[in-house]
Amino acid sequence: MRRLTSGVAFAALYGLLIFLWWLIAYLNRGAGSPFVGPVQLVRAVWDQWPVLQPSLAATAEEAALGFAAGVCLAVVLSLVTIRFRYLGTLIGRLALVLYSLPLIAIAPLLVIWFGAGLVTKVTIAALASFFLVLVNFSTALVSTDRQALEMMEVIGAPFMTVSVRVRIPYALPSLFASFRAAAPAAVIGATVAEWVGANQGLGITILSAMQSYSIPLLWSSIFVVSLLSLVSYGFFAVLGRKLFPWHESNATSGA
Amino acid sequence: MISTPAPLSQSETAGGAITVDSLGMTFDLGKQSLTALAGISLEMKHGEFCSFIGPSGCGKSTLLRLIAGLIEPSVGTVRVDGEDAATARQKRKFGFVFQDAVLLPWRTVIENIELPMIVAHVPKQERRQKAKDLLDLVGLADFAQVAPAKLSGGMARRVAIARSLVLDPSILLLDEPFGSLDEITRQRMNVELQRIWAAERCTAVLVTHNVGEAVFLSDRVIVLGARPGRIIAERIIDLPRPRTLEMIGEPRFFEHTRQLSGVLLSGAVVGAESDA
Ligand SMILES: Nc1ncnc2c1ncn2[C@@H]1O[C@H](COP(=O)(O)OP(=O)(O)OP(=O)(O)O)[C@@H](O)[C@H]1O
Ligand SMILES: [Mg+2]
Repeated sequence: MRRLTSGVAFAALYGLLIFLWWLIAYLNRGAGSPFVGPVQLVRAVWDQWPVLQPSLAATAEEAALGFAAGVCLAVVLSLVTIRFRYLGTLIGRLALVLYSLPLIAIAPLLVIWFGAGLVTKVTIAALASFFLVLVNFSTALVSTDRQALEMMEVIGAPFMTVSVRVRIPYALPSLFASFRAAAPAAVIGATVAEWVGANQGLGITILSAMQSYSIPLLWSSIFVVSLLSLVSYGFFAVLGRKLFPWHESNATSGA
Repeated sequence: MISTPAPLSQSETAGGAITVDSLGMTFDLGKQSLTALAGISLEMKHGEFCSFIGPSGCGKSTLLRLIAGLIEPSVGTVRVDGEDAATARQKRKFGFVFQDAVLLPWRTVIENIELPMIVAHVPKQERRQKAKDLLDLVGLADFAQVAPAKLSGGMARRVAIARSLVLDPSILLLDEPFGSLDEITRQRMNVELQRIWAAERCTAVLVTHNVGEAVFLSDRVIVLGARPGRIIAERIIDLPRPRTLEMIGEPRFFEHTRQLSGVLLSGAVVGAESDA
């Protein structure tokens, strides 16, 4: 019942926003207007789909590969922190320094090193997602409930058993929560990486649409990028809820 | 790990299940240090039910952790059947019921009870059977396949108790196991705990805030004072067993709780001046 009313409220809110959007576009209509209304946008996506589809595929691939690489590295380094706390802090600090560098600034450097190929985009996407996963997962791994750990100690469980049976399972919901933030970050990373050189991708369609002043293509590219981000978020949100129904963040449906 | 305590050799042979000798625990808090426990000496017999009561923060949980060898004492020794506490823990002599039930939420009730047996490499067949028997013992046979999140507080405690018994511990350590329950549920749980303890024939050490609970369950109640935590009084509870809820209304039961409450109160107020 509560869910139903909140669903209605959300629908009403979105309806209002779309109406306002339509209104702004309608008031600014005319040839060469930088505004595109909702109906026009849908039509533009439909019309531009032959261009958008391969771009979407390219960006999605870069983002997915980068995300996978970033996650793998972050997970391995986080697991190291269980055993070697001090090393973990050190890795965390280094990762922070890396994360504080603006991606748009490292991208040209990577192009010089690796060329404008797939490696550069994957690396940027990996960097964008790596830190979020590392921080969340390594923190969760070392903040296991003290009594749960003592319970394992009392039954004489060796280190590996404690890690596999208690520490890691307790930290998995946090890992998946970090995926929800890291996956869109990888999409943005891949898009940004394309700006410094690529043959195709949504970053490229955005750039070329801007240069040729093709407003419908520009808007539809932005639309598809954000859709990709949202879908990647939603995927991990749903997966997290399915896998960890016992976790309090999944007890009531929030986002 | 701990230096071998020469003076204690005779009490080792005396067969005390737990022997605590001038135990002290001081936590290093960086700039300052905090003495949680000082000069605790006591002896517990096999099969004895012994309770500790005392004000919050007087070191009751710390004492249980020391007995189970989960932390090392600053001074003094803990011997369990003549061995040091950490060795006894490695031999899985303890069952520990923590202040929270700490059931693993991704495992069903029966899987939670089986966990210690998995760790101890008990064969699968035996594991299932034992877990079922223990669920019977705590009266939750119908809840084997339920997720812990679906249990009430009292049921979760009972599962935790079942889990603590699963490796046949010779010593059961209970840290305020019914602390957050209402009075009626608590009394029912106390009756069950007494029955379980009698059935398992183990030594039990209970920590509680509740004087009535301590008297109801124990052969002996030890009162701790605060800052630093130390023994300020001890009382033998000579009520016949098995104890029933009707006994709570009897004058001799009331006499025990009245006396203990008095000591508890004076210990909390007077502090270090009480008897040594
Ligand atoms: N690991 C620790 N590090 C530092 N201080 C600690 C630690 N564990 C306990 N203490 C301190 O020791 C004192 C006794 O703590 P303990 O948990 O044993 O009290 P307690 O009698 O169990 O209290 P309660 O009844 O509230 O559970 C407290 O002042 C606490 O702050
Ligand atoms: Mg405590």
